[in-house]
Amino acid sequence: MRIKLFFLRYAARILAVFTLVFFALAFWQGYAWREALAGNVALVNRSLAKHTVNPSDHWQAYGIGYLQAADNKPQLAARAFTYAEASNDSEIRARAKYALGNLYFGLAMKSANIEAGGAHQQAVAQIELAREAYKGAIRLKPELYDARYNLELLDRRSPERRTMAWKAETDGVTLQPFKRNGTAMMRDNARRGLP
Amino acid sequence: MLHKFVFWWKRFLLGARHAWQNGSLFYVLAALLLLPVWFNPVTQQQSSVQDTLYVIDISESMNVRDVDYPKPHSARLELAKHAVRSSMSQLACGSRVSVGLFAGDETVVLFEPLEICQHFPAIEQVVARLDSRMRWIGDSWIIRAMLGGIKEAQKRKLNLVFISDFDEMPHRSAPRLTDLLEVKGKVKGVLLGVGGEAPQPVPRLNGVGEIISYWTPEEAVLEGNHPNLLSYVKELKPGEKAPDGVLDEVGEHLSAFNRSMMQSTAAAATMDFLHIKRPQEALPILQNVSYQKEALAERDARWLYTLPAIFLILIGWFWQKLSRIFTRNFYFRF
Repeated sequence: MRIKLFFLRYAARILAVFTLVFFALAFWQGYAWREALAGNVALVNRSLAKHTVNPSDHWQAYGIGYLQAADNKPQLAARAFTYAEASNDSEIRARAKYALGNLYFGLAMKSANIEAGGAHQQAVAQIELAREAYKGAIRLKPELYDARYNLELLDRRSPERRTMAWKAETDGVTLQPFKRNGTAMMRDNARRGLP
Repeated sequence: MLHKFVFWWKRFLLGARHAWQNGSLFYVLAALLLLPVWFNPVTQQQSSVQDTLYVIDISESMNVRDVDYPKPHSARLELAKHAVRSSMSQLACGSRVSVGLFAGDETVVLFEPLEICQHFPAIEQVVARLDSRMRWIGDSWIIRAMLGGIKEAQKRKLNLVFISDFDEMPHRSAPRLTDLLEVKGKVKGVLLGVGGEAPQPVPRLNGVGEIISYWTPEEAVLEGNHPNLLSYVKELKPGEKAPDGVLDEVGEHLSAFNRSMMQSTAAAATMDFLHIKRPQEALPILQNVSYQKEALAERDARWLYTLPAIFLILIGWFWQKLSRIFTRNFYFRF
């Protein structure tokens, strides 16, 4: 009875407080939605690329990095992705690492083209950076199969990895029968299944 | 102004006198003494600590479900994770802990060493969320991974606890231990073996960790493990099995705990070793005194404030009786 009386007496005020709180929440959500929309529009019309990277806005940094990478500006893209990589959100960290992996993978493939002025040593270093980035992405988000696929592709295109299995198993003690008949090099990358 | 101040000062003195007489002053003092507790005070104490790097095998063979902990037919990785958790819970405060993963020939340290008592929940979360899908390669080159683990532990001045089924992939007839001999005795540690000794087929899991199939000898050949049989297997129709006896030399689709590998690598690196079936079995060997060292460690100092506060509260509670005893026996006047 007392509770009922209490509600009857203060119902209008309680309602007003709740309405205010919900209005505030709705306003906040609307603001967040507007910001997200503005970010998406800026990404689509590529005006985001002209923005200065805000180290605390990791999605924005990721978007800028994405556009810079598409514009073939790897240094700027790597810088932006590195900011995005510092996020506490594992989703964006995994995506930033995956994007960094792709960036280094592309650079490695360019560097591996010696005829076009590439340098083998640089390619090897970039392959290692790409591997570490992909590995980090997989650790953060095991279901990121694109990163897994690209890591496998990278390993298969990496000259060091291709001959690693053969080198590791070739010695006088553990020489397998198939290695004596000249088929050893057929095995380019020893692994049990895809990673 | 002065008049007001004198008035309030006299009121304060009167209140203090009442608080002293009825014992409530001790409650106030206890509350004041408890204030620093909110800021998690710590103190430095000389302690026996055990700094440890746990390296866990996340290669594909760790998905084989041939251990009976925490429930029957659990994956080897589950037992490894529980062993790490049990071991961490036994470490003294001040011990530093790090966790690493290995797959293929690489050991990756997930985070730099952290003090165990302050960071136990976070480290426990990291261990609980370890997933074999985090691996970047399906193979396990035990000796190279151990070498990597030893180097990482040495760099950070940690002991090494290396947990694996010691089933190398690709299989080899005799392990080459020369690399390990070079780091012999550099790091103290234990090798913990998990998994059954009977060969079991290696499962393939879907995205949510359910077994969808098992590796077959034909697939092991197609993966490039036996190039001499490759052309023969490629001729088979999809799903067709090779006749009995043709693929007898193929064993890469099966996995078992490899005791001899564990023993030989442990001997090469002068480490202790143990095959465990339950996490508790690992505790005695991990509590070896030789792994411990004396160091200044941060300890929780909240009790230093809490105990006197409890004492003050008790005094306040029994103050009426205590004051009577004192007045009667010692002629004190409160």
